[in-house]
Amino acid sequence: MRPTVSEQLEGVSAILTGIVADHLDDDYTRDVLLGAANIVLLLSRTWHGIPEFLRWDSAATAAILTMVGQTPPPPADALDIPALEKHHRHVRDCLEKSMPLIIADEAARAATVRHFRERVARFAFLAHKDN
Amino acid sequence: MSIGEQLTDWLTDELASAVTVENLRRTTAGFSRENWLFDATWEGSTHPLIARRDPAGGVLSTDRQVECAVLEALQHTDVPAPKLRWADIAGHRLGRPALIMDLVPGTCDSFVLNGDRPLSERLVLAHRIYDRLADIHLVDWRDSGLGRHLANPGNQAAAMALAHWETELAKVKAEPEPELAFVLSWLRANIPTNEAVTLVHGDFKPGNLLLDNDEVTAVLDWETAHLGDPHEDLGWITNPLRAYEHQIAGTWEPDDLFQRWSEMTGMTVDVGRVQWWRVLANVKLTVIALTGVHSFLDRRSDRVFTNPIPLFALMLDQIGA
Repeated sequence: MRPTVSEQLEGVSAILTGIVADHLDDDYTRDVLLGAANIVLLLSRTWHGIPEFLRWDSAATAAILTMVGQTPPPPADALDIPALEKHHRHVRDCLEKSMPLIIADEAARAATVRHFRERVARFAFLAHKDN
Repeated sequence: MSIGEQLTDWLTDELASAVTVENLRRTTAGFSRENWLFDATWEGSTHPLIARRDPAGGVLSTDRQVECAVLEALQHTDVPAPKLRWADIAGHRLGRPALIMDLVPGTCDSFVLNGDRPLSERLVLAHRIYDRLADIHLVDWRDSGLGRHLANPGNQAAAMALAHWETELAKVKAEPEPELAFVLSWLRANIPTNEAVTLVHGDFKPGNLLLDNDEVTAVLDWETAHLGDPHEDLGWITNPLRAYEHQIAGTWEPDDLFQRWSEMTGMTVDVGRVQWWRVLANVKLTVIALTGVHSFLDRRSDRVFTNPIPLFALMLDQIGA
């Protein structure tokens, strides 16, 4: 459906930088506006990758929790974004609380470090990929 | 009442004289404070001043009383620092805590060591900049009275700093941070002790200096200053993440910096201990970013801060995980 969410966000960013910013005399206010417009532009390019990132991160985290005998919460509905976000927070909370167990278990510790690194790499990819 | 009117009233009361405030403008630099530059005229003289006000929502939570004590003590040392004129810790004057200082001549360039000037000039500049850090570590904090305002950690500077940043993290954490839990566990298991206790700047960098004719005219931003292990500053300035600000590849690298610092201070560098402080430096940067996130979520910030996920890979490298 046009304009797509990405197109709308990109368009709003262009309005802020191309039209509104030119009429601001105050340097500070202009700087704040351009910063906000840049975030909107970044969101236009990344928002659609976020549910998949949350699903992957939650599933991989749940697998680590299982390694140290913890029962992860059941997965959320993949089409319900607020539920996905809530579930993601829940499994990450379990992971944080399980850290003493993980550090004491060589295999779980190695899996956790691998996951943390892959998470950074996937996040970086998400943040930089073009629409 | 506008901030210009508030400043006029404040200075008029302080000076018991008619004051005019002109050329007021807010700079875009810095997230931890609002910086307002202005000219104030009283009794026929014009004084360029800077007012630094706590933001409604910033990236650092620090003690303004301590900062005032440090600024005043530094006036009697070799460390160039702005002269504090007036302080309003309670925030009655500008709505939030604020300091007014003399505006020191000079310009600020975060990346001056990697600009387009000849290498030989940049190396001279590097020496001048980091010799000021040595000056900070050589401040006689007992003699200057700083011991009355700053806690002396003894040989537990690292443990005290770790506890401080864990407390700050607990205040601002908006969601689980298992990566930080992992790194903090390593820091706790490897806490070093220290021999010397010195004044520590806490955020020493070219971006917190003013340079005029290639001389350092002021070291700025003393809000994180405290007594501690000078290795803390050495870890901060040799953090690989900030190499482009602090180092000149192939010419002014950590070993060069350590050698120069040792010559200037007479103290030796424990490279293993520096590494511990580098990891804490990145925890600190993470907490600063999360403080920004917290302010944003509370609608107290005019910037959007996001979770500093990329920092975690560097911290994992640093702890050998």
